[in-house]
Amino acid sequence: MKKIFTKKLALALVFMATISVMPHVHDENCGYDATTDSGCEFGVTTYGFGHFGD
Amino acid sequence: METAIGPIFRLNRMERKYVLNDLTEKTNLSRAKISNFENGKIKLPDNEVRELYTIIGIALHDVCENEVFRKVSNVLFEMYNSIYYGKKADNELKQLNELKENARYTYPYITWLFGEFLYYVYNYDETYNYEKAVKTILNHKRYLSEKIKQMMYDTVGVYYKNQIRYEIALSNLKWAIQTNIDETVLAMAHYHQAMIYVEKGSSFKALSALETAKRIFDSDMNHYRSFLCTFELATVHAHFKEYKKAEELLKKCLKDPIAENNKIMIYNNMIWNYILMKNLDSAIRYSQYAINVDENFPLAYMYLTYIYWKKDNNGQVERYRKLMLEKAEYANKYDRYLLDAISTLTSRKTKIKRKEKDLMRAFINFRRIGDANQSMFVLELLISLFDKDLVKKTEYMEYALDLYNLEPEDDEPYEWNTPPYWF
Repeated sequence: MKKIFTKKLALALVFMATISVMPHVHDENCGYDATTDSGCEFGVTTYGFGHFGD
Repeated sequence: METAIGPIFRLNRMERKYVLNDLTEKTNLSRAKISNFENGKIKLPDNEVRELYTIIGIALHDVCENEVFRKVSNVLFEMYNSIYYGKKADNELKQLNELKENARYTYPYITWLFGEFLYYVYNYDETYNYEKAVKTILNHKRYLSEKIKQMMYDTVGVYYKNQIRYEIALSNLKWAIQTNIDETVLAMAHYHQAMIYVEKGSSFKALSALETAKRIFDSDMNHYRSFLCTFELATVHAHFKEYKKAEELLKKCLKDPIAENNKIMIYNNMIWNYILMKNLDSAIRYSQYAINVDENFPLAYMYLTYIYWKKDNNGQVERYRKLMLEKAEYANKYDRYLLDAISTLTSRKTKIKRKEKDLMRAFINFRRIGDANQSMFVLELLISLFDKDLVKKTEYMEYALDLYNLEPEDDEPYEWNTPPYWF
């Protein structure tokens, strides 16, 4: 019983470690979708937008 | 507040560039005693304080601290109010300068210094020493009243925002929001926070901050600030790819009397929105409007160069490329990197290797100033440059992924998209 529990714990740790090093991409950031490999087109970022004033 | 006189004396001494040794030579006081006095640990009798002030060339005269504090604070509140309603605060600065002589001896001096800082944050002046002012104000913030402290956090946030130091700006704005004494300052802090979120590309956060700010501005009948919120809101909508909505909001801004003398930034955002909508003809039209308003607006030429490059109209590309390079002197240093990058990209003669090198240089420069959006923009150009070269394309896509890992949304908890059922 104890052995199985330790195995599960080890698996969980490995899983969490894998998740934490995986690239963390938000679609919110610029519409960049890593899975479709389409890449960002020109101007999908907010770069060109300016502000009116403080 | 009595002990403020020592630390404030030190500020005056350093302003006049005197060192401690200058004082010990000319008085009977020991170095340790003066040092303790300056640190606020001990008090000195009035005549000795007066003597110290005489040495550094300031005649100390008797003032009623609380009276001075009240006056300085009132001018400060008026100044903040003018800024809040988008009016000029030159008159308040004049009043503040008249109060300097009386304010400089004790604790109101920090409030006074903050007033000066407030003015120059909203009216940029390259001769003003911002770094020094921020350091002094933050080191002596215990001499500020709670309400002024909240204003101070907001203003320091704006200063760091303009310096593109977003993390430190956000932490200051968060303090301003947490202090929550004055609703006006609260709304301002939310608005400034939204501007940073827009720059960082966190649109959901920007949207909620803007909504909070706009609600307060509307209830204050502050049309100027509501206008600014609408303007930012258009950017957020464009970011959500709701370009029609963004166009609608920008057109609303364009009709507003506030925009009467300052249409260039609205045109700029309009053009960008049309480029995103792939409505290149409207983008060209608005670029022409922008040039009509200000013929030295370098970004308009950049947009035209890019649009004609997209349209494969080489004659126009060359024409606007030349104009863009001529007008580059009017751009700030960050925009200039961008103009260089576009110029390289659209040049027909430049070889692809040279283009890559130039774009990489722009990328490194943008990384150095820590602006993820601009870095991302150049990476997108690089990716489109190597559309057919899969090896290079993948390489730059990996850069793009790295870029996102460098700027994670650290205050958002990680969400488990797929629960780990399997164990």
